[in-house]
Amino acid sequence: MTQYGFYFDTSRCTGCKTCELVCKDYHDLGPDILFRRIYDYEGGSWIKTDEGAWEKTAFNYHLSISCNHCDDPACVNNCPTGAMQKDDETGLVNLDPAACTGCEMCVKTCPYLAPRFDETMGVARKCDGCLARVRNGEEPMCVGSCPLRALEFGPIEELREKYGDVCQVPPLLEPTTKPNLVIGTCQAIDSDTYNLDEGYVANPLEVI
Amino acid sequence: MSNAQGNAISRRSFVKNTAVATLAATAAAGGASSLFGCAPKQVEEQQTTATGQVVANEIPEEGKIVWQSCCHCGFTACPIKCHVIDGTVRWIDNDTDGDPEFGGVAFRPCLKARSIRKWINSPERLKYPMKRVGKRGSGEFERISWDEALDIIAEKWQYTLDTYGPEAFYVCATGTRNYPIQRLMNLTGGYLGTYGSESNGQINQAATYLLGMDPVTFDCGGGLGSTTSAIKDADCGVFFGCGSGESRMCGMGEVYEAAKAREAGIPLAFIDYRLGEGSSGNPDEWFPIYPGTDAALASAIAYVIISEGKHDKEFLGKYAVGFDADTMPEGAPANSSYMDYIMGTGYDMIPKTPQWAAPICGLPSERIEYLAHFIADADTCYITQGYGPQRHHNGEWSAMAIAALAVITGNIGRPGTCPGLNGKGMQLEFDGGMWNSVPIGTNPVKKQISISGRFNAIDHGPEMTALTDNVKGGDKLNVGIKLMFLYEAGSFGNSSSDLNWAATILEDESKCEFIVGSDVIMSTSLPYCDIILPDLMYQERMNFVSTVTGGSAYGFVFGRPVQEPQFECRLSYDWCADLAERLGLRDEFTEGKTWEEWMKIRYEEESRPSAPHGNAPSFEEGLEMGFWRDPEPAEPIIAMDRFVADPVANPRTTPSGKIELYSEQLATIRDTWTFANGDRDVVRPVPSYFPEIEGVADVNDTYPLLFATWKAKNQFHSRYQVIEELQQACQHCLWINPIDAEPRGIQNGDELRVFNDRGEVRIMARVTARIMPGVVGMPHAHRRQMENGVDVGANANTLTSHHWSPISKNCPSTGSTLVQAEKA
Repeated sequence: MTQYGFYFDTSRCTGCKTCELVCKDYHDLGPDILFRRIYDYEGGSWIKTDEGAWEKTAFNYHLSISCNHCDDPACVNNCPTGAMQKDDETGLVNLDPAACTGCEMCVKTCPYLAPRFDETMGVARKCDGCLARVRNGEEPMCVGSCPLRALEFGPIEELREKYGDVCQVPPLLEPTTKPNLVIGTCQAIDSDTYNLDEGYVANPLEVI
Repeated sequence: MSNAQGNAISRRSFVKNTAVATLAATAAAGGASSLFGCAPKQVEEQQTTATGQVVANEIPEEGKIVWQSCCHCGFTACPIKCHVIDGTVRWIDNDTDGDPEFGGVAFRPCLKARSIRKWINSPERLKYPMKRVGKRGSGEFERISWDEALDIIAEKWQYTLDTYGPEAFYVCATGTRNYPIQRLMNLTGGYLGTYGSESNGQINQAATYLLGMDPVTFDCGGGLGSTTSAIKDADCGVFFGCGSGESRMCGMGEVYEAAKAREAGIPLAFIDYRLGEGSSGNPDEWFPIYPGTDAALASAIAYVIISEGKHDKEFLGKYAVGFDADTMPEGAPANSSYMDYIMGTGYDMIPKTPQWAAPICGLPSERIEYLAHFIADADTCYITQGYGPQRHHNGEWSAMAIAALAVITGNIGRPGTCPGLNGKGMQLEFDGGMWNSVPIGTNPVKKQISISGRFNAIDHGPEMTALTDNVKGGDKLNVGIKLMFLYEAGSFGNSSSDLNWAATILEDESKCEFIVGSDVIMSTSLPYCDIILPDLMYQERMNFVSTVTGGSAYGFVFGRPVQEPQFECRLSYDWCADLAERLGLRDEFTEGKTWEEWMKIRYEEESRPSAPHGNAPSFEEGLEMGFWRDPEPAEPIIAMDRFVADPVANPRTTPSGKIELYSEQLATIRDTWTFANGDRDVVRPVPSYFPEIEGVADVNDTYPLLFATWKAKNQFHSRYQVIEELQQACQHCLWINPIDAEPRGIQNGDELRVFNDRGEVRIMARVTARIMPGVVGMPHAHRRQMENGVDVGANANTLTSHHWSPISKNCPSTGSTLVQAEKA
């Protein structure tokens, strides 16, 4: 098996959400289901100076996160029916909807909110890395749509060789599932000027 | 994936066996060598739940490829590759044959274009002609036939012509597009014209006085400078008020050019009241200033540069007048040069030191000095501005003061420079624009008003004069606007300022007596119409559009219909021809040509010859291709390059033929005009700062917050707002700094009431350090929705002021507005 994964560059992403909407268009998801979420992470403070101007440490960056197709996927590990599975050839985590009973164990255990429960269908839904496209030799839709080329997809070892192995920056939690994700950092993350600990997700309703 | 593989034939495949067969054959013929070395090529997959429901993340069929464009946003126009199945668009792709690497040319549209199928077939689209039955603004209409609608319009047309003459006719169309209705009006005597646009009215005029235009190429017209791609040859770049991460956000837009420069190691500085998306992840680039204070900052930067003797004396001597006493025009008063203003030896006698500017614009003086050195110490600095700084009461002066920085540092007319103006879009010509059109002919009415003056002209047209309202082409208006066409004019009810006031003017049927709207989806403007006509979607007709880019590529979209016309929607050219017939002008209107024939003529005569490498396809070849991307690399367009190369052979349109840091024309305007805002309308002949109305100088206890707007990521002039997915993805919020939110008890997500004496909106709070303390703002043009006098849709222009600018008479519609905000 060759494990595939995503690279995401926080320095390039402008938070435009094209990747999210392209995914919705292609997979016909409607407004309530997101396979890819764009977190607006921001923070910082302002201090008025003696001359009546402002000093600031304000910062922001975006994270575009879908399923990370983990090596140790909580959704697969906790699925009682075997509906959630890792593809033998690509390692992409996907769901057999016919076997899904809608118990939502995957929804409750994934640290990345990747599987969501579809009330209409009564089953979980998630990003499968556009598995069928990948088998056709094509990229996932989100990757080829990014106006700023902030997303890449490929064998995870190649991505790690090219970009390193950072896979966690705020607001993502410490990884527990061996995610196949590589994150490119940015000035906001790398510079000592900005205190990431005082940041927060500013768009909670957009990342349901 | 065993189940899915076992289910490889989809429901649709059963229905459409032929399509599957074709695709399977294609896959086999193509060899299907996999990029990723995986399984053999699948045609499509289908997933169903245990109860047999189709899970929609199937792989859709390829379908038939039809190229179209998303062309609403004004400054970029993107090709979209539509996959059409069963006669309608199933999914959208982008220019998949371009160069996918960072820096390469591939047309990748933004989220709006990618959601377009939900727009094309929105349940809210207009379906039939309608006649108003309630009072204006009530939104009560009844369905009528096309014949009845056109009969009514023809009768009112003739009545208005006979009673008031052609000056009483007016067309409000989004942007600067030409429309068939203008062609018809020109055939019946013309219509009251407009100059400028809501987007760029102030910079348009400011650039004319300071830099002039090239009389041959018209460069700097519209306040447009070099393409943003020019920055690749600069040592650094300075962007005043550029929200290109929101407004020019596609994969060939300005935001991409800036990102390429950043990664090439070219340092960038963004001067703005908010940390825009163009600098996401790169907050060191942000230099925050209060809205409406760009000229104060620019003057202080100039002060540092001149004090340190770092201005380009050779450039100023050769190309400009009015910098100092040596180059002042004859007869100009002593101590009235640009340098006198900056150094405090003339005008208000205040040296424009960084310490003077710091409390005005909110940027510490050492940061101002840093910016001055950033600009002056570089061999080449790319200096540009968005349309935000000039969309203010004092916007003409912000625009000029920024451009003056390029002048005094000689960063003009050579590679890597922009004369401080807006980033020019790169495009092929199409009847003078980028959109398809029939030729509209010549307007026999020569009078023009500013685009912001249209409500004034409806309300009290005959009181408007050249010296009070900048009426051009005549001393005054003889009649107000009596018959108006709103063509795709979401902007009329959205990007005009002070909408509550505007609504009272439209509601009065004695003022504008007859209003016709033509559109595709009910907009904020249409409830004020007497007749509504349902148009075709752009994607339902032959739709020729030049791509518009930040300067790295040329392209052209030969759009063909993605589906049959729906309901009773009609091509505007066709119903205009039927209306022309009722006015006895069908033959003159059509010249015997169909829309398609006009497209061919306009393309072959205008667009094809304008391709810089002479390699654009023929009309027929283009239709076959659907989308043409110029394979030749595009070179940046450098504004004023001809002038700088030879100022004698290529003078500017200014009276001196040079750059005018002192403008005698402005001095004359100052001395002869009467100004609507009295002493608050300041006119000086040099680039300078004055405090705008409802700006930093007017902040008070009742209305303590400066209000500003930017372009939404997910709609334009409320177009596409019906797409639920886009609204979910980018929720409409008021940005407010934690320093302002805390004493008001406001937390992220709270519902707010935001108000001033003009109106009140309800909107969700976004508490964020990305906006300056003392400033609140929201994306503009969210659809207005009135409930009990409160705009619960939260359109910014329910709040904005009509304090129009001294010279171009353009309304702010993005600033010059004070508000209060509190929890609802």
